[in-house]
Amino acid sequence: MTVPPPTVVFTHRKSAWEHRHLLFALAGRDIRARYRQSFLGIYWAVLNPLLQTLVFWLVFTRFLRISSGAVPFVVLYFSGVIFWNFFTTAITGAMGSVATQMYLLEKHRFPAVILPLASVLARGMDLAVSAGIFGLLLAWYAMPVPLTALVIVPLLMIGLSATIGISLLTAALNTLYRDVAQLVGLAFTLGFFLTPVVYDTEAVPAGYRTWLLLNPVATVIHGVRIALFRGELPSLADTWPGALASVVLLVIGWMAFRRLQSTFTEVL
Amino acid sequence: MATRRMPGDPSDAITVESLGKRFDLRHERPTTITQELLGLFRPRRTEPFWAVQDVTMSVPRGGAMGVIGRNGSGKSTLLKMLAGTLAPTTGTLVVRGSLSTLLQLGAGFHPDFTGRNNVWLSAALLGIPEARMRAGFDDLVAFAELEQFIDIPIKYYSAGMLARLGFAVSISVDAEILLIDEVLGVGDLAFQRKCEARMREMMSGGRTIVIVSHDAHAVRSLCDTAVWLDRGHVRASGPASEVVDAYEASSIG
Repeated sequence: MTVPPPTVVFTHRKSAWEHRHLLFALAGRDIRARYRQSFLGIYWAVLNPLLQTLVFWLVFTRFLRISSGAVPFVVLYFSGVIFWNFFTTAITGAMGSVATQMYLLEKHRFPAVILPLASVLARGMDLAVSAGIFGLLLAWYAMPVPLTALVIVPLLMIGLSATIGISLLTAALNTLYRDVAQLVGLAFTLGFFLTPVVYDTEAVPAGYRTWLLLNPVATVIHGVRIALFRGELPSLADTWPGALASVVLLVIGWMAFRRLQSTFTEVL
Repeated sequence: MATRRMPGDPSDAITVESLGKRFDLRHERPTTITQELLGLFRPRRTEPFWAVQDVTMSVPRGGAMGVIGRNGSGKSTLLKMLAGTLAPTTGTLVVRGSLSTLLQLGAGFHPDFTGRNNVWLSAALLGIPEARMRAGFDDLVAFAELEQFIDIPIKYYSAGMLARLGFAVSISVDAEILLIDEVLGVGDLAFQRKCEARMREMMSGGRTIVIVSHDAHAVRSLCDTAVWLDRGHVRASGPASEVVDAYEASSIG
């Protein structure tokens, strides 16, 4: 049976920009919910990367006695793990954001995309906190911060675009399939070792490196390390594959979200 | 011939013509990717279900309409379509003016947060400007009679306290059209009176109101017109008291 398509007119539909307060309110709630009623509260944002660093330092420099080159292992590892942690925690949070907050979408008219974006934004605070610790670490090791460190701004754009792209994709798919979370968990476990967090890109043979740098998170970490530890800018050849991949991810995520969002409130 | 850009009478706040919403009930909805992939090779068994069908109604600007019906009659589906959170399958829907939904007993409240925190988040959800919220916050708390408790987590609130807070937030919205979903009849009798008085105040300010409720009393006392939904269809519509009488007669009989 076919029916004529509907005609729907709302004369006063608010734009996404008019909902920006909601974005911040939801991100604020996310942050507070995470740290409220946990014994250490906001210090988890500090403790997590510190403990991870401690364990990897123990394994790599004491057990296996692998040299990290000119840069102290702790600094090398930390410069990678803060981005990796942001990437994974932001996606994990965003992935469930729509499915768990469906009740908001059913009651209120606002762009659904605000939900995953708020999750990502909330994790931005953790990133800021760990970046602060990283700064202290650099000071402790008396490592000067060269002017090239400014390249972190465009690099963050690459990382953010990939993070948002995957967040949108997984958030949308997660409303339909419960095993998206399993898949993402596996991808993160494997991805950790395929991203230069515990090792430096320099240690990777050139043939593999090209492939490695297709990973936008690898691109960010690689670029930040070159800028910070060598005072140079990452080469364009090392940067464009990851930049391109991040844009592709953003477009795919955005399109998938657009496509699926009309079904969010209809899944029975 | 004058070109009509929008269907319906332009003096109406809401025009609904032959509106229908169909859900395709899938008996075994795949919940994993594996199941979905396997499902590609099997015929899909879906059953169409019209939650709302062929509903026609209109609400003039400044009017108050009640939608009544039993559970599962399509009231909530209709309200969601009016609110714009659910897309209709067929028919015409025109909403002229800014619109807000009054929360159902503080939907969107988070139990671990204080009353204050929850008020702010709800305000953002309802699109209440921050400046107006700041100015009106104390009045809101006073209206809910929660001055003493506004800074404790709402999980310690009684049902009545929660309902009062939810209602107080809802009525601070300033939209031309208000959709009200079962929020009346909360709290004790004194608070109910206060809510009704406040509703009347808003209505006299020229707002258009649609109340979805199975509380016949609220519809009778607040609305001019009413629509009675039965299994997705309009069973009766007209002056509120008549429709409510018919509805009550059928519920008893």
